[in-house]
Amino acid sequence: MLEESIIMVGLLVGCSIYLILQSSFVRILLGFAMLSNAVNMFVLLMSGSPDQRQAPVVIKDGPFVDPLPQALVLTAIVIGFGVLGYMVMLFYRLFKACGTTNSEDLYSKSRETFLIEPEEAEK
Amino acid sequence: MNSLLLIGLLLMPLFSAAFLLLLRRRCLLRRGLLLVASSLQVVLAWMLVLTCSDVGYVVHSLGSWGPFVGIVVVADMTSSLLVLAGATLALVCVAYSFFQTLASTEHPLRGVLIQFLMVGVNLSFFAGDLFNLFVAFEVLLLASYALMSLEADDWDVKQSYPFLALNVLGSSFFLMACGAVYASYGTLNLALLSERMLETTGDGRGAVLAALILTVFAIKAGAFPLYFWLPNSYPTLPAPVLGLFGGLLTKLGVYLLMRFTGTVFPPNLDYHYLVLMWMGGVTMLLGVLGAVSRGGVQSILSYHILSQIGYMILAVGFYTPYAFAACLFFILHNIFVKSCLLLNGGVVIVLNGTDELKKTGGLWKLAPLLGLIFLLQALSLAGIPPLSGFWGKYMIVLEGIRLREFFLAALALAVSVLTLFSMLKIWLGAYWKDAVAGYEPDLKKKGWKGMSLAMGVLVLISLGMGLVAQHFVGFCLRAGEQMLDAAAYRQAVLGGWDRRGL
Amino acid sequence: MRAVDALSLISLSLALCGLGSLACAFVGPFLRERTAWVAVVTALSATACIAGVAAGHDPGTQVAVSVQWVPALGLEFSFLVDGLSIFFALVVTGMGVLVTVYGRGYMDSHSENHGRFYAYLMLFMAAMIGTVMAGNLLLLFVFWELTGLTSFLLIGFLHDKEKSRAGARMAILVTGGTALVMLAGVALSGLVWGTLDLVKILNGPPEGAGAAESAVFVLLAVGALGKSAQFPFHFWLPNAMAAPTPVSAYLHSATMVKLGVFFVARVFPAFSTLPEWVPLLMGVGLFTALLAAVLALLSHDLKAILAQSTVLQLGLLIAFYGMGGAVVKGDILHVANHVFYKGALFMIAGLIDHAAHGRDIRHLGGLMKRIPWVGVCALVVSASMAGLPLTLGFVSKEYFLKDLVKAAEYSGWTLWPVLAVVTFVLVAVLKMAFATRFWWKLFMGSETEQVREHWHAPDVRMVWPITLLAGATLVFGVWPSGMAHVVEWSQVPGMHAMKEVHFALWHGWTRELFITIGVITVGLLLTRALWKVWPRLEVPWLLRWDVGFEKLVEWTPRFAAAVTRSLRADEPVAYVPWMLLFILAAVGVPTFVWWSQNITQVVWFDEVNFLRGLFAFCILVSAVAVILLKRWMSQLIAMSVLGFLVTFYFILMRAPDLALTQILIETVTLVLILLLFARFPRKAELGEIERRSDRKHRLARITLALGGAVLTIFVGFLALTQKHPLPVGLVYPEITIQEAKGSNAVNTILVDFRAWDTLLEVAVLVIALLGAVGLVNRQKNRPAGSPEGRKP
Repeated sequence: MLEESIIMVGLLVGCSIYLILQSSFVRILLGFAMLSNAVNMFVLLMSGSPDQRQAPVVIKDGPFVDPLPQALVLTAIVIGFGVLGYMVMLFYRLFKACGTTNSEDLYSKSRETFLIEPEEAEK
Repeated sequence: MNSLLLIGLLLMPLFSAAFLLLLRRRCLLRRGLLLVASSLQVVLAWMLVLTCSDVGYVVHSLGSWGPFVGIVVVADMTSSLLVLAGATLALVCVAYSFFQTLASTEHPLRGVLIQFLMVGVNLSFFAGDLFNLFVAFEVLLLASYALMSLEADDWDVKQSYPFLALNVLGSSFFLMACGAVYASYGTLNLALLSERMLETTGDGRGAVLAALILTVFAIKAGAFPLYFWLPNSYPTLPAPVLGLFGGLLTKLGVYLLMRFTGTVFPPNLDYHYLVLMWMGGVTMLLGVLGAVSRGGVQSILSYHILSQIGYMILAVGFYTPYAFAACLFFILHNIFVKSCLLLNGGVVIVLNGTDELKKTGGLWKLAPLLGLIFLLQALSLAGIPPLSGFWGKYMIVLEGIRLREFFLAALALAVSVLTLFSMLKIWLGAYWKDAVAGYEPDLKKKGWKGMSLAMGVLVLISLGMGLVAQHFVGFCLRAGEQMLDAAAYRQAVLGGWDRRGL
Repeated sequence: MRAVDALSLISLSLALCGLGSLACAFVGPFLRERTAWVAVVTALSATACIAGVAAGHDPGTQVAVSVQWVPALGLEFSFLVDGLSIFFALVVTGMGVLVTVYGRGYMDSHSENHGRFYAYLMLFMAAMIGTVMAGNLLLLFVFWELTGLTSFLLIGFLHDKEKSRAGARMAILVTGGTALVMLAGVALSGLVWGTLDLVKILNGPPEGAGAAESAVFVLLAVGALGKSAQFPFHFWLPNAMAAPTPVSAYLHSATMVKLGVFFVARVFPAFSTLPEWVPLLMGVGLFTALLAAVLALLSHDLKAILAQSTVLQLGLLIAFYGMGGAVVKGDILHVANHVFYKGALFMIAGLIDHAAHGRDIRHLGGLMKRIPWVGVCALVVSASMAGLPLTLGFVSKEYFLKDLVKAAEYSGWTLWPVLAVVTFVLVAVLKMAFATRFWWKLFMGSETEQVREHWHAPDVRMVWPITLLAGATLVFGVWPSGMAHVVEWSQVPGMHAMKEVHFALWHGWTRELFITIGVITVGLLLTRALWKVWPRLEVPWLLRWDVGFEKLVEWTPRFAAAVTRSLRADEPVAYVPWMLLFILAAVGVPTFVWWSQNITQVVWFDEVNFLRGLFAFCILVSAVAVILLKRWMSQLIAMSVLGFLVTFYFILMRAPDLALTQILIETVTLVLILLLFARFPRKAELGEIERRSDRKHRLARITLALGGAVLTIFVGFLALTQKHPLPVGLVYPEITIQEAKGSNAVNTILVDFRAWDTLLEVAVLVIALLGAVGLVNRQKNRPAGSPEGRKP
């Protein structure tokens, strides 16, 4: 059993949920990054305790740790990076489009006022 | 040969996406390639359906590593039929988008991303491995994020954020579930997982992990209260993409609910069935109320996707072969009818310049065939016989009454009145009402006839489903039986392979 | 042999109607008003088909003919050939001929869209033939819904007008809604009987059906009552009068609204002895009749008066069947009577509306001079409506009353029969009053201004069908034994007594005759008394259920909007917590169940590793730092510290490949986010720090975060406590060298055993890149004036 690790991962998930539930883009972004890390570690922990086991490189004699979760996590890290990268670009675009870095401001206007505003601002 | 069909359906869209990327801006060639690739997928899927109808399962082990250490993809009657429906829909949507925009003004990435989307969709239908399913989901989700924001203007792009955020949350839970399932059962292969879950069916682990996984699929399916990513974001999509999304993505979630409750999880999850059933009921009602509350064609239809999903989830919750068959029939019907309606909404926008019902009007006089398309499909959606929607609804209600779920059966019927109500809202607002000054339909707009032609294919299919329902219902009944026959699935996937001591 | 013929003839009539419909739709734009003749020919040929069926039919028998349609759902394409169905089918097709001829005159060159009109009409005819002939309950329902649908199109034919649209919507919602109740009945009867075959269902319920049979009956009856516009669904029919008059004459007097009556007759043998039969049908029928009589008295629109009187008559017919018992007698007489006079009356109303451009009875009068022949016909059919001697209406009324009185006598003057007699007499008085008014006000007296100003001579083709129907009323009224033959011919075994039927014009000084004389006298007196005040009478608001329904239609979207808004559907930021809450609850319940059962199995802290504990603590500290720190840059630094600590953690978990990947990805992520920060202005950061709104729901956030943490921990423990002894992963180190030629099992999994995942992982990266490109190459804002800015 990996009590200390599981508790850490759980609390990390809690922290990231706390961040995601806030409205600032930056906090949300960091929240998702943290969640991705936490979930990756969760999957890795599922290979069980590494004590008295070797890394899964078959040079020495075993017993080895379970390599499959490691392979899964590797894939998941890369995918998580792809998603995070897209998210960064989305926040950038949202900032360019709406001029705000806070999701609360995004949905407060109706379409009409939103579209007319820039013109009026020019005048 | 058979497994070639299967792998062809996965690689064809992948390769065509890659080629399209390389082609850059030579537009007519791009279109030809896209059309050929989409048509080939339809042909392959058709052959696969015939094969599955004959032999039951088609299994392909990638790299021949077998189901224990490698990844397998599995097609059965249900998944192959749904892939065929999806491929057909994709072909229609592609053709529709060709008519809608000139080759020179089309967004070059749309076709590429649609092909990537199809990779994810097809693989999700065929996945025989939990983690592979996760990866397929990611392919599909990223392609849908990208499509969602691809042609969005500064207003629309805001709707991408909730879509992204809620789905990323769902993916995180999915990944966690993969890990927990692996620890508990030591495998990711669905057949082996099913075997091992059945062995330990007494302890409560299965229930917990099943709840986690089903929740993830319920997000994808759009069940209340997990559906909020959908109704506001979908109407911002361009019509062909909207048709594809509305027809396929949520249905994929329902398929996975069926697949996992029916084939993978042990058949004793009464708590889950109960929750699913009531989620279905509530989704049905709140979805249709949402639809009634909206004032634009595409917004109404987007909410309707959810309401219809409610029916399907209700059927999954009934958990009998008959209910599964009903669900499958309902999914099929919905794939064609709902997306046709969404595409129809696209034509309304072309002709009237808007889809707000306050401003649309006058289409029944000017474009009766367009109106006929809408009328047939809308009535089908509301479940008027002998159109396709009726049979699905009838089967679900029948099963509800048989299982003595009278309240839910009555709710299903009541919801269809509201469905009719909201369809009437569109019909009266866009077709029967006179045109509003300033928004007169302009029949000289390019492309709308071709777009209607593309929709005609969907109309014919759904009419066929209604009028010669016997073939479809018969197939669905067999598929429903097969879906719940976990032993046959395990035998088909695991049989004949070296178990490697597992 | 004969059975096969019936099947092909009926199918042929359906096909002919379908083809006729298509033909009308296509030739409509070219032939315009002359399209009617296509429809007439279609209707004639359909009539010929049904007449062929009738000619081949053995009176007093019941034959079912069928082919399979959807056997998987118990649906057969089957028809029940007997007196009842053939009679109704003949009414449908025969009236179809008359109405299309009438339509040639009514839909003249000033109208538009003739093709569509007759196309709908022919489609409707097909649906009606199917409904009345159907021999399978589900098939009947299919056609039943089709009649509703086509009638929707017909009612809304003049869809430029708000009133037409509202009337059509009301009709389809009410009849469609009740039909769904009926569908539940159909489904339930399929389960109770095990078949949907009408012949078997009519033979009575299987043993032990019990309450289910009553449930089936009530559910089916709701559908029938809705279709026949019975209380509480009575309000849709008068509003359906927005339709062109041929439609009203066809659908709303002779055919579609009769379907409810027909259906009650059809299922009579199966349910008539149920205890629910009498109170439900009798109660609803009588009450509707009385209510509609009052409403007819208070209406001034010609078509509204007729519509209310139709509702009234349908109520009486339902009540007639509602007497129940083992057999029913003479029902066809009452149906035929209503078809004849009401069809003619609607056509007359339409003719007047067409000729005088108005149908408010208060503004019409003195038409006898203009259209004397129509006036005579109108006199005949109005008299039939009032039940005056020498018309079929008289015969019908006499025998109706006779049956009621007999039933009352037989039962020893119990509640229902007595109520029926009293109501019938009351209704007859009111009928007498408004029928008198109808004819007298229209044709007698002096010509009104409306008539003088707008009159133009009506097309003679409108007069033909009126003459024919009025003639039939008169002929059968004088020669009732002719009708007796029809009624006798139409008897159905199991439903009728199968005896010879006699009707006589004169059958002595009976009770019924005295009652009739009384009714006529009182009715005339009532007319006289009301004559002066009549124009000022209005329907009280309490009885305007149609207005109530429209309000309901109007309020439904508002209610729906309120519900949807209350779900925070339009505030993405506000509903994420609710979703999370649901997920936590849905997964939490089974987790809690597991824990309460297996708490003893969990071994706590048996092999805690100090180094891992230390790193875990450090990771948590940096996570908390990310939350607590205010400046973006310091948050980012805390986040990267966390990332690199995770790298070390991977090493502790004996995962060197992961550590390498993590360090690489972490670096790139850091750069990416730095670039993003560089684009955000400093002002924005200060704004975020000062923003107070984030503090509002802090408690809820903390609760959800803790919930997520606890759930993750519990699921993790659960998975590891009962870890499977034979994980697939332990096979890889054994086979990686022999089979995959690589010593690093993680690598061989990635590039060999599970290479498919890796391929798609690359695809994911490509797609993410494409998505990012799409985001950056954004399209320009549409100009503000463009409608909604929404793309097609």
